[in-house]
Amino acid sequence: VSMQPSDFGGVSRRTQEVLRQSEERFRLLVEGVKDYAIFMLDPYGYVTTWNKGAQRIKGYDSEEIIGEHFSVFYTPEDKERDHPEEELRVAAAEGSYEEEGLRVRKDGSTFWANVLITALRDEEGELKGFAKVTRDITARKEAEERERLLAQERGARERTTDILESISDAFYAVDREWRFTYVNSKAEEMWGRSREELVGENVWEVFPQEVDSESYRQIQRAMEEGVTTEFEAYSPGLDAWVAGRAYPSREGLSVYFRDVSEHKRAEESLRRVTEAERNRIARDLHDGPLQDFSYTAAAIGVIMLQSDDANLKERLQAAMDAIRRGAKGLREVVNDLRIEDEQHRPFTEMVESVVRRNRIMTRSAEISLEVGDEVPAAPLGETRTQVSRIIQEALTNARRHSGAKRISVSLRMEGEDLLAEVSDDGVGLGQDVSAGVGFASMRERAALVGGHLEIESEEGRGTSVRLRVSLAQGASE
Amino acid sequence: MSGEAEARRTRVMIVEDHADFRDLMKVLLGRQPDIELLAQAGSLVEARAQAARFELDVAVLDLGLPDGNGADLIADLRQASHDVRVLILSATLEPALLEKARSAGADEILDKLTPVDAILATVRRLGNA
Repeated sequence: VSMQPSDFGGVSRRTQEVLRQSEERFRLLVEGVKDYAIFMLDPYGYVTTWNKGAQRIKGYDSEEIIGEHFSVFYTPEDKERDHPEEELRVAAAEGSYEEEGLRVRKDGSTFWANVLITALRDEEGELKGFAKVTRDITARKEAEERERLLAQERGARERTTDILESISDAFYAVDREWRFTYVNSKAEEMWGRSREELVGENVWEVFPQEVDSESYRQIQRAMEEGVTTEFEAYSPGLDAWVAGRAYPSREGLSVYFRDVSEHKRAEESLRRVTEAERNRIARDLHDGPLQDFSYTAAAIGVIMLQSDDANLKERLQAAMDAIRRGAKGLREVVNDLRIEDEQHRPFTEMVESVVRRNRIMTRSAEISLEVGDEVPAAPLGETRTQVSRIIQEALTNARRHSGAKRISVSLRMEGEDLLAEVSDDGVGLGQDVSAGVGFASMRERAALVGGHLEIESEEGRGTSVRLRVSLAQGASE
Repeated sequence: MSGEAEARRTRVMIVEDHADFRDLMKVLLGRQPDIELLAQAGSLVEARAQAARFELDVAVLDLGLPDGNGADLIADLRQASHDVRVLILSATLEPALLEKARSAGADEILDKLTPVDAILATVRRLGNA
């Protein structure tokens, strides 16, 4: 677009008038353009004309900007690297220069601009200045940026989906109202339901049979407490054992699970094999050595009945005590081997079974059992074993020696200490030597688990055996 | 034991598969003037045959017998000797087995490790009941 005045020499007045009117219309047209800043620079970059678009886009009135250097439209960084001058150099050398870049408004705010600078030369080719057309392309740039971010997000989501679809775990996500937001193909396969059916539906309405299962409780807990939970439980809906994890997420919950029935079956058959083996060993010990020990103890007893030699009887008594101890130890081993899934048997159940056994063994005394609410039902490991044996020994003493009518066993917690007590309304200890032997063994057992044993007994006023043992570190065994 | 005990001796049967233990009981009971060991058996089959032949006061039964559980004998014994008292003498202290014996009608259950004089005393008490 040449804005240079023409050389009027040799042209008719009418032609001149037509040209003048044409140029005037063109000037008005340019000035009136609102969407483009169209203005001119002198060869050094100073603003010489201004239009409405320039005013609108850049914020300057023509009075304040004409005569200013056009570098005011540039960012400090662009000015620092002499970019405005570079643009003019390129435009002068190549005829024009175009770029998209950040420009600065009068108020200091920036906008994305498409800039076209055209060199203006007269007929002799001398540089007269530059025409500059600037368009505000912020909206387009923002749209492009949004599109880029969306594409990026879409890409990320597609990659996540690829991952979720390729894992062998079933996966689903729910929002805070328990509505499915995502179901992977493995979950579709396990449930025999398509994601189209499921997404948007409430998980517990779709699978009501799972409500109150162990997995349900753990999944609920993950949502309520915002913690990661694990579960391994039988799923009535799937008729399978499932193991999985629930992770709280921004939108609700992510749940991974898999069918572990096969693994469970393998575990179960291993358990059966182990149990059969343990039972066989228990039977062999019971039918062999234990019977022989019992016989030997009784045989020594019979010999003692026939003997009048006090010295011999004393030595036989010691031998009998030894064989009885051996037999009892062996019997404990046999019982331990026979008890199904011994390690996982809760402590309280073990004590109940001890009490039950002793009730069967006596008809003369009533044995009561009281278990405090806070006593853990956990297996408790070695502590459980020793505590229940101490209770067993205390009960044997009470049954054999006390002549008690009532024996009470109680378990309760005091802080992290477990207190076990066996007390009777019998004759009390006096100088009973054999009972003393029993107490020594109880004390040893208590010491094994860091416990303390206390015996209170007065002649004619019964006996109490009290055990205190800390569960602080043993509880997790 | 006073004079009235002589009126009749307690008639006992032992069912025990451990031969040495059985012989020991035979020796022990054989020496008691107020006790008469009428029969002995090492299995359920033998015990049933013996039970049919004698009127008994007390049966001393082991639980683990080669052909079954001693508790299964109790009903048969009662059929033969209506008032027979049953003492279980067992090395087992397994609650399930002991409960089974109790519900089958055992009168007393003793650990085999019980001192022999206590076993004797129990036999006498059951015999006089």
